[in-house]
Amino acid sequence: MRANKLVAFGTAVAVASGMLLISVGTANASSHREAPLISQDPTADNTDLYMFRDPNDSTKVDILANYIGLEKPDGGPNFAKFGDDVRYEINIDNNGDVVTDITYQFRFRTVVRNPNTFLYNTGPIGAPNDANQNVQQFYTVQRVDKYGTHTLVSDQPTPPVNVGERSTPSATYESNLARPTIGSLPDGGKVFAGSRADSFFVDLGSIFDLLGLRPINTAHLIPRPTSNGVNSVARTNVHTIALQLPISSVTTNGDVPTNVDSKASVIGAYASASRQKVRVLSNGVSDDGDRALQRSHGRWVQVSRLGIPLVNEVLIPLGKKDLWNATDPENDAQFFGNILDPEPTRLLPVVYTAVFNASNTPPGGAANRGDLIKLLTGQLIGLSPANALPPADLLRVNVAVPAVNGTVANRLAALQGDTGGFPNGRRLTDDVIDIELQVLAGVLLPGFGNGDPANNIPGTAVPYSAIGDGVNQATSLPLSSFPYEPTPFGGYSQPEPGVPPLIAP
Amino acid sequence: MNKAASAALMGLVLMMVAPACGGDHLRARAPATLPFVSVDPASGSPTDRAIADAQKRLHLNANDDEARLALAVAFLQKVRETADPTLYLKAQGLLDDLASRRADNPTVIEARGTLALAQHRFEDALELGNEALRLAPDNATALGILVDANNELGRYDDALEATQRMVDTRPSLASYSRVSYARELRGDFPGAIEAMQQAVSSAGSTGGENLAYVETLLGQLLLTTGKVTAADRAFTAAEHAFPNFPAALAGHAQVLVARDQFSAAADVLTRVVKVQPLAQYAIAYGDALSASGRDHEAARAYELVDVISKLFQANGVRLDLETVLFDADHHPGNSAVDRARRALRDRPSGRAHDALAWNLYQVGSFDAAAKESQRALALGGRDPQEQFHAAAIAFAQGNRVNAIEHLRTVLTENPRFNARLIPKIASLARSLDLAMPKPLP
Repeated sequence: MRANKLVAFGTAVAVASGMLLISVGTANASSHREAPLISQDPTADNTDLYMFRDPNDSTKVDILANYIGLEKPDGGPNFAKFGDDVRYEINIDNNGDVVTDITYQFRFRTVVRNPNTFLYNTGPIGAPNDANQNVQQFYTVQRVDKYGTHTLVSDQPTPPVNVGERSTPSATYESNLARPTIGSLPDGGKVFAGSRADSFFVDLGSIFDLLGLRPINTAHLIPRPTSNGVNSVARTNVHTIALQLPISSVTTNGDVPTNVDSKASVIGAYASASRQKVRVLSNGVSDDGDRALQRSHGRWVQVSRLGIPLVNEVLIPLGKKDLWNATDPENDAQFFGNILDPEPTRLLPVVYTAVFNASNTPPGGAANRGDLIKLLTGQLIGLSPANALPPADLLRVNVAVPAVNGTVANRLAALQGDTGGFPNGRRLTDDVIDIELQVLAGVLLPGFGNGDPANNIPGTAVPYSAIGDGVNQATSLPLSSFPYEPTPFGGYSQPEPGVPPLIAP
Repeated sequence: MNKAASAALMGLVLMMVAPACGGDHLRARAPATLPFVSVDPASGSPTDRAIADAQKRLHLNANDDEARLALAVAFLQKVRETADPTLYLKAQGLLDDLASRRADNPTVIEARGTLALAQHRFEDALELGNEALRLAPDNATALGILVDANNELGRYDDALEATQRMVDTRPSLASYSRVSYARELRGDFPGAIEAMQQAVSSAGSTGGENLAYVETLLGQLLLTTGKVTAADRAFTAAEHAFPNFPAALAGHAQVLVARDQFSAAADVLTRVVKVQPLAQYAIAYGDALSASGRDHEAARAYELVDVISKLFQANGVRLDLETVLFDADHHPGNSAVDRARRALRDRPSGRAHDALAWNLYQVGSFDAAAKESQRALALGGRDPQEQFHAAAIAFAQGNRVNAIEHLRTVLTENPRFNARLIPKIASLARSLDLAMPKPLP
């Protein structure tokens, strides 16, 4: 009946309006404010955190935090940029009490040279601060620690986004535009902030399609031919804040620790983004200047945080996300029930019925998931049970462990004996999807994988190492020097599939 | 791990519908009763992708409650983009079904609250918002539902409290835009503009319809305060964010009206009305035609308003306030006053008091009109149309002092906010020895 009335509606409107042709469909009466209730906030959305011993200088550690995921390189004229009203932070716990001891705060300032054009640039950009670059961003970094707040750099330029071959030629992007913006810190460290190619890699298309993993497609409940994975974030850019710090600047004793089994050797970090509260109304102040001052001095609210890859995104249920993002890791205990009974694990016997069943899938709970407890307490990166740290969603690196330890650096990192990578920190090339899928499936657990991916899943001829999305590296490989995360993809070459990745010299 | 991945992996987590659900369920086909729509596979719109993904999951497992919820939420966003009301009914079907089985899921309740707001069932929305908040304390979405429902019900103190809690919990486009409205309602335009700029900036560069929506509101605030060039830029930005956004096109028409270019404004509004035949656009269209001397076309546009209004009511949609105001000007009389009183009962907001005031004025009940007008402006609002109504009513009462005060408010902002009212405002200004500013450049 409703439908009939609507058809009548359309007809009558068309008749009444004579010359107007009107489509059916207007019951959306208008007279109230329907501002969106749920809004995306990519500018303050922390997508990845990396932390690793510097591969070139054993006295340094690098920390990179990415924001604004899935940027399309041809996203002009309004290219993605840092938020002037967002506080980006890298938070460090260096004495193992899970409370932040050192925070590096980044604040950005956007300068628009000519507000009457929508163009990002009005000619080729030859250098940072080029007059042709209409939209520029500058930033200030402060370090907050027990001694107070210190400004490390101010008005530091960011490079332009990689607009395209005419505006920002790829051959010289890194040397002329990006590298000159790297700032020096008073302690000998370095800082960078700007557009980068995303180093993350994952087959979202298949995983989203009922946890499909293309390399083992035939074992799925709804089988498909096996194939390699497809990188869903290929050729996309992010915005990165990056620090290269002397290890002695961030350890609790101010030294470069050498004892692997010591709490003082472990640095725990998480990245975050905060926005400012505002006072809806001023308190009866009539003068507009005072009113503005009162309004703009609200406290900061953390709206996004990231430590160990996967924890926030997959293990924390939707209804708790606002709370999770606003919580500091010292209060993470309330979420451990969700973390220690991971839902993806429970899904395995549902979709991979040919491989997983109730007896070879690890049950959840603290008693059964000692491996996840070890992960959260630093025991997987060199600490003995006696020195275990309180559990928290912190990405931890044991700086007494060399950058590459024993075996050649490889994407499966510690799963293949390379303790220089995840979960001992996280390098740009670590395949955290495959590592975590195998861990969730039980590769580390006694009675299941027993710590060796070559072992078969009990009762099957399938090794744990077969579990993976088939995407093993990002489109661009890391640079050989700081900031390591690769040159951003350019807008001009973006629409052409199959263009070789732009890797800077 | 990457948040992009999070969406996908959340997807698979969410598919853990019922631990007992075995393979047979996964293979079950979606029953014909599921309200699927066809989606252009080539569409790059995130909303279309969300619809397609949810439908795909439901095809595989008709009992996937999370996919049901995702589909309902995606439908609600799609109506924002297309104004296709059939999607409300589809969303309602999905949500009623979920409500019967997932009564304690705050996300389901929030989606039902959003739907109630869209259908102007504000009391229902208030109840649902409170229920969601009880289950998920300090959830920003639930607080947003309370803000909107309380504002429409005229409970401004409650709305203000919820607004402050919402922005304290999660500063975002959703909460900043509500902060802006709270300030606008109280006559603080600079503060409203500042908060709306924060809303715009927190949308980033990938905001789509949501960004277009707040850019348009920003443009309207700027235009109201006479900043025509900046307003025009905001409307253009809204169109960039979401091409052919009807409200942004209508904003451009308002800019043309402020510049006394009525015929050009009418040409823009023709397109708006074709895309989204809402009463407010048809009225603005008729007014622009009338102001440019195209009386025959204007009469047709006004006929269209009447048809829209009748058919909305035939479809059970509650009276909207534009229509009530339109009736005051075009069909004044006691039955129009009665309709205005009914609308006020449904939603005792300031705007509804204003609509009743103007209807009372048109039938010569000036004292009763003045009382309603005072209620409309009780919070200190400086809305130019409400201020003009107050000025005209005071003048009719012979209260020259009040008339001057209200009209001054109109004249210091942008008095050319409505093509039909411009000559009336100019004439009242002459009677009160006030200067009508020239059209804005």
